[in-house]
Amino acid sequence: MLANIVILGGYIASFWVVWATLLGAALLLSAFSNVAPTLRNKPYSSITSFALTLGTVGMVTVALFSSPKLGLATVWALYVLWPVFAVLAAVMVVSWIFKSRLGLYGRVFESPIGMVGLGICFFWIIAALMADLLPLYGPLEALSKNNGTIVQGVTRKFKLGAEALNGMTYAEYVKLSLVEAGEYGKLYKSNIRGGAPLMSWVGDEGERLPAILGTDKANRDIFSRLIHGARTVLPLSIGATLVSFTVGITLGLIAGYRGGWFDQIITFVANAILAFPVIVLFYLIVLVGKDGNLSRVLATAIFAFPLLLVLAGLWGLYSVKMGRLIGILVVFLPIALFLYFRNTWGLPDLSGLAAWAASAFGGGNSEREANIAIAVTNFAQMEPRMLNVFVAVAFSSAPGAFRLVRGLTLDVKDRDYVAAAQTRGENQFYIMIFEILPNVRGPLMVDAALRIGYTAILLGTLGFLALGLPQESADWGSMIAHGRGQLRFEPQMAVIPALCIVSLVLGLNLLADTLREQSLKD
Amino acid sequence: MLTFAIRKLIILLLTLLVVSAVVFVIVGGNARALRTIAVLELGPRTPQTEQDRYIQRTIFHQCDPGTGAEVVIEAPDNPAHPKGFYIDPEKCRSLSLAERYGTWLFGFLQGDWGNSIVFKKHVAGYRGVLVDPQGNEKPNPDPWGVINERLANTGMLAAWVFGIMVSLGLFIGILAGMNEGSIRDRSLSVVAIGSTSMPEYVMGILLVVLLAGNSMVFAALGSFVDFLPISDSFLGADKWARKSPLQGSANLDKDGITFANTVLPVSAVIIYGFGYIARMTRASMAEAMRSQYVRTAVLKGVPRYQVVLKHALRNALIAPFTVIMLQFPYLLSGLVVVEVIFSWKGFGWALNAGASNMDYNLILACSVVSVIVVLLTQFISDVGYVLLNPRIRVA
Repeated sequence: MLANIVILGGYIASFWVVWATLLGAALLLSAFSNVAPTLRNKPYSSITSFALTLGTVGMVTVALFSSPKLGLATVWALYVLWPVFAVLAAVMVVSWIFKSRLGLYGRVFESPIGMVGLGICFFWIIAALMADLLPLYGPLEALSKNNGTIVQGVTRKFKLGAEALNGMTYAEYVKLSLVEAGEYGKLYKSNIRGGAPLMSWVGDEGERLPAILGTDKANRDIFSRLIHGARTVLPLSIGATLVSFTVGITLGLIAGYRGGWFDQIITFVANAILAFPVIVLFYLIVLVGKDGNLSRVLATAIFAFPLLLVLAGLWGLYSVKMGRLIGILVVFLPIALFLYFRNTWGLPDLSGLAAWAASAFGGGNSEREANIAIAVTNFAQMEPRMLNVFVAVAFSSAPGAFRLVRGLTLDVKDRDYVAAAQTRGENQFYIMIFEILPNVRGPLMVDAALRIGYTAILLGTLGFLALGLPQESADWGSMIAHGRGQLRFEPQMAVIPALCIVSLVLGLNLLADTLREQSLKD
Repeated sequence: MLTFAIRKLIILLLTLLVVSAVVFVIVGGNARALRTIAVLELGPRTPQTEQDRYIQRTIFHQCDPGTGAEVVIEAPDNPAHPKGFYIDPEKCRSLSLAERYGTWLFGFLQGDWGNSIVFKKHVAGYRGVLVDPQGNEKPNPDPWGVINERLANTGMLAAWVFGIMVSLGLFIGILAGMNEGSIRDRSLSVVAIGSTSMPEYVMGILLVVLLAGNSMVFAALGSFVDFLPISDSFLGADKWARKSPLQGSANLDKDGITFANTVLPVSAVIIYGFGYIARMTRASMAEAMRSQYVRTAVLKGVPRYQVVLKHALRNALIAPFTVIMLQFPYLLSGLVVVEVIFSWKGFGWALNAGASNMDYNLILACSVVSVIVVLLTQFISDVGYVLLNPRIRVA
């Protein structure tokens, strides 16, 4: 019973109380801080950050180690991820040493909160890059076809009865009491359908790693899927944000700089898109539009903007040096147009080439031929379902970027350096892209960091509502949706992916906040 | 001022027209999806002509009213038609997308929002009389449509969320912005950033795990009560300690809206939303506290609470007003997610059900209604900003 009380403390502390503590600590500390002019200009008071960090770390530690299996899982996770932490530490230390030479990026290291944010972002980026080097299972690899072993485990504990209680997690205790309460049939079924609990060795022989966070319904290792999930979430959210920013920058610069009817029309369209709640837009684009060509039409429009932005920049730079411009375009245009049409309408169709390549290089091995055919057919092309999601997310966040850039351009366009460039007779594209854009980069970078986080949240929403993303995809939103049915028995199945999203977004938000403060110091 | 409002209103109507047309084209112009529905409803082996007729008569009002195509036929076996009459497909001609949009728009404006396939009833409710094959008139037994009852449920949820979220956000923002750079400001800002990083689905999951029904916390509380040297019935401990009174999934048809099924969805949306409002309020408040008039008031020796409440706050609340009104689209999105998580049978739940089953009229109606709500809040924000801010004069 005593063990249960310790466990109880851990679970309550694990999350809900961290929040209340942060709020309470903030209010308590505020009692000591009447208008203190000495504090005003300090970037971050060391007492606050120390207290907050200590509180959070303490709470998390208590929560983790109050349950033996959770503690063991943490140790295993740290062990598996040690190369990631090593690289992370190296990157942070090197950046710290050279921070004075690294411009705005280096100045993030002057604030502890910014360092925490940057560290979290780097952690996920490095984990996504190194996922294949770690001793993890594949994101789609089922550990064992036989789920029965798990059920046997529970039955064995049931037979052991009260002696088994000491080393159990609370989830297991609840399970056991359910068994005692006669809900055995229900539990049995849910275990057949659901996966293995925390830290179980469920695979066949010769497995390299326990299922640190258990397995899901298809008996895939959740921990491996989490780390591999960063490979879906990060490229999609960063890519969609970048594309939506190129849309916003292209249209916003022209609308803000030129004004007139173009400005009015684009502003009207942007406001019309912003009038949709994002989810309604997703239902329309992803669910209703998936049978038609809607996502291809939208992709045609959206992917044109990166191309147009580069062309406008080249025109601005080399409009008087036609020879060089043509030289660059001869190299640039074919590649860009190839990528553009591959990712919008799937043109040119490479299936003929794929068949030829498969017969030429397959060497009679049918599996190898199939692999070659798939690789060639999908060359430089986003998977259609991913394209659908990518386009939906980029489309929904483009109007916000447009409004931001337009406002900044209106603010900046009457400055002296713009007037000077106009007097020099510079090309208007040159003025927009090489005079105005670099001078509004501060707010743009802050907004980009915030928007990547928001896009990650949107992707999570899409996965959570099972909209568009492939069912087996390892993104965190889908994993939350998979784990939802098991909340009472295996809460970590849904809670840990949820915390992954929160950590990524929190890191980006902290980073954005610091970037804002540091760029305001200029 | 009146001209300004009228101009805004005209832009609003224009936006609504354009948006509804676009939504109609997306939803109605999707031939393959229409075919999917017909096949789903009629079965896979139905001949194509039969499917065409189905598409024409159930999904769109494709016939001109004057052509005599509306024929009352006997005992329609399709429960999606509470009106009790069919349109004779033989007398119909196929309409273009633009004509279909026109017909839909006039029907929409007159309150005829079509039938929902999923819920087997009118989307907006049909309050007219039904005519049976003999020509007798009788009142419609179920005059409420899908949207009406669902919107009422969502309205209740939104009202709670909005009230608490705005007051909490303003309170924390004002507390933080009062002393910019102080420890209190820093800590509250971190809390606000934390809030904006916890989307509704994360918070919903966590709340269900921790606080709903037979959650671990309450099961653990139960064992804690067992451990205490008190009797189970002491203060009703046996009841509240073992099972949380809060529900992780709402059964609105049976219970109605109760405290137990409202607390968790409401808090999930609030926790995600209040941080943004708090940060905006903080920025605005901090700017007001730096201003000349506040400095003058402080130097004059006005008490601090008066400086904050009378001088700074009144000016600092103008910008958050706009921000709060512009939060409505995000609030609506959040409500959709939360309604799906807690199976709260409201507007968003209906939209999710409709969109998953390609329920045309329901998707159209839900999209247009949500856009109307958002545009109205934007209109209020524009007009209210001009009214509140004495520095702005518009003709």
